[in-house]
Amino acid sequence: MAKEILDVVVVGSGPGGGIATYALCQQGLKVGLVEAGRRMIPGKDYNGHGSAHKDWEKRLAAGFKTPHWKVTDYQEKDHFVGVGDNPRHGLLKALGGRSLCWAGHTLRFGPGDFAQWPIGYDEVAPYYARAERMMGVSGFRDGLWNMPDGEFLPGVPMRCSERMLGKGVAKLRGKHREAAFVGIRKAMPSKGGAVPRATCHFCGHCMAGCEVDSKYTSANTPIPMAMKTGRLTVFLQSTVVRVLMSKDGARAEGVEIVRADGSREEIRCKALVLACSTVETARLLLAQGLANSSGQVGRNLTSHFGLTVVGLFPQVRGRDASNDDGWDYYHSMLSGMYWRDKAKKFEGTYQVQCGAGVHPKKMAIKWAPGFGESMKAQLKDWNVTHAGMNMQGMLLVSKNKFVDLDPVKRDALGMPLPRVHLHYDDSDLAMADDVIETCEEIIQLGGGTVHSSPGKATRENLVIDSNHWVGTARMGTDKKTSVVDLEGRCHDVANLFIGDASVFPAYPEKNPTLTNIALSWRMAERLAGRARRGEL
Amino acid sequence: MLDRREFVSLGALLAAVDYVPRALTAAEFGAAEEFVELLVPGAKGARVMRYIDLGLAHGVGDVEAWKRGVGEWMNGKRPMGELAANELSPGTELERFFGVAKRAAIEAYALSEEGQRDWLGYRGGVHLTAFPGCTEEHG
Ligand SMILES: Cc1cc2nc3c(=O)[nH]c(=O)nc-3n(C[C@H](O)[C@H](O)[C@H](O)COP(=O)(O)OP(=O)(O)OC[C@H]3O[C@@H](n4cnc5c(N)ncnc54)[C@H](O)[C@@H]3O)c2cc1C
Ligand code: SF4
Repeated sequence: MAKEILDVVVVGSGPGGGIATYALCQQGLKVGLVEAGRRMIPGKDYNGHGSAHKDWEKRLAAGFKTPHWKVTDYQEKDHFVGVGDNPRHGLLKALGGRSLCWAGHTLRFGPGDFAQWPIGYDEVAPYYARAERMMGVSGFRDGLWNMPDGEFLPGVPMRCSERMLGKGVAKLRGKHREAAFVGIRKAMPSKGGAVPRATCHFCGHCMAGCEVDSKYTSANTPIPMAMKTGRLTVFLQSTVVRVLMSKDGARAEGVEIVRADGSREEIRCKALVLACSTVETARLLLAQGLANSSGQVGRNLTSHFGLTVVGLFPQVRGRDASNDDGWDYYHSMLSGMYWRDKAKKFEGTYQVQCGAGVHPKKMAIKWAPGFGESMKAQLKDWNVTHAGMNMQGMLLVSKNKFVDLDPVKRDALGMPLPRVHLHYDDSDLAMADDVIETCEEIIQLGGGTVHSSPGKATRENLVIDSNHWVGTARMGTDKKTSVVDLEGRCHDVANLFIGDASVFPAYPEKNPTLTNIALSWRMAERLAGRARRGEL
Repeated sequence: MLDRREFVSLGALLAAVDYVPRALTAAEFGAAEEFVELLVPGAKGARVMRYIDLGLAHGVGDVEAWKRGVGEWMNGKRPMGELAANELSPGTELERFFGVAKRAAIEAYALSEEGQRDWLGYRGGVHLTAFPGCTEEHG
């Protein structure tokens, strides 16, 4: 009997692939979801509520070197080669991808951001709204023009030192600086009944993995919803090593997978969606020279980068610091920087994620001088009164940042390792200097003192966000300068679609995942439309 | 038959001796425990050295640095104030060990139930129906 040809194969089950899978199944298509990782069980494979001391011996014996059962401990190592200014690249092979460990910050890009895109905000807004409803996003309505409000469940308040930062920002605005200080928006339901998941109980270790599955992941929401349609087949622990192409190279016909036991299989389909994440999708395409007549695959790579400034607010000394857990560390952010009034010394915009509080499992300030009771008292006081400000700046797109393949190094399956090239440009350094100056000013205006600050940005003290890479297969109308069209379909291969953040044609300072999901949902609906019209 | 009180105190005694050091020798472990207790009072009751030694035995931290540092301390104790004075620019093995042991001890104590409760006054890790945030007005 001839093997079934699926309507669509989706490769990768992270936020991008997860939503595409659901949207395609919902539209009546037969879908195969191929995921390199296994299914992880919340509460068993990871559980941030565990006791570090009690679990320590067990964890060490299991080969872990960190005290908590965190999902981030399962992230890949040695899966890429970094070139330049300490690039890092996060990858979690599991059903759900890195949505298992994301912090859940869910921000819409605004009309100002889309001005640099070939599609506008109004085009994406309906998908944002749908995604927010499905994800269960909680937040305050702030009325910011370039970070529009969404369909929110009630927001979660800030801690005391964060409010002091808010006072500082209000004074900065008094100096005619365009700035806003707002609560964070997260894909964690603050109120029961809105989504079919547990309500968040504010235990504060979301990035270690949510053991009650309250936080949105593609493993707990769209993939189970897709399963319910009866049209989904999931291939776990199956790594795509090759896209099967038609003889003339014009069409994708399926994928070749390698299973955990080393066996190989070909899965045939009428259309293929790659959603392996920015670096991995580029790697697959580059390995076969696919969809790259423009030479743009792997180019236009960007992420966020940052550094941290910490302030102390003596006004909040003596406050109740007995439970600062909340929604993980960041409950607030400085937003709006250089949205309208462009900076003179650098290109782009930044936001600053802010947090505060005493978190014994991950203390923000870990050192105070001396020893004994006085040192302990000092350290506690600093943690109680501190606020941390973490820059998230948009990294300038330039020829100094790209992905290619290592000519020598290969993974266990014989695939070339991706190389991530990162060389900060002068504009990046100038932006970071501006952040340092602004954060220090805000702390002082808020009545605090600067506890620690890099003072000056250098290529060595900047930290790249290893999980926010976007842009290696950018969207555009011109096939000479872009990889996919406005639907997410490769210019060169008519039935090959891309469903992750590699298609972003430009990147603001805001976190990527909501836009990744919205775009992938849109792409999947366009694909399903083509299937209905018999165009695949 | 043991009565309940005897049973409980025997339990406490056993708990105190139930750990055989894995990375350090028993003598080194004892000296390290004394040093760490001076650095972070309460560390001994929170079994901080057990945590550190287990880690050292599994490649978390530098065993040799601990052995050298503890050895120096056993050979000639110096006032902690003196070691602390050179914390930022340590010149001797023992001064360097001061920093190594302090970092490890702070982390292990903060992670212990005793440290969380008695030092930091932490009452988190529980099920809340709403997060209150800042409930006080500050200047
Ligand atoms: C600790 C942490 C905190 C974060 N916080 C936030 C946040 O607050 N807000 C935000 O917007 N973003 C956040 N992110 C980033 C966010 O998780 C990623 O942007 C997002 O997961 C990317 O989605 P993706 O589907 O493109 O890729 P991924 O989530 O990486 O999923 C890709 C999947 O594809 C699979 N795969 C790859 N190659 C193959 C292959 N050849 N064959 C089969 N399967 C393959 C992988 O195993 C993986 O499961 C965070 C990430 C981390 C790790
Ligand atoms: S704070 Fe909420 S979302 Fe985060 S881990 Fe706890 S229950 Fe899950």
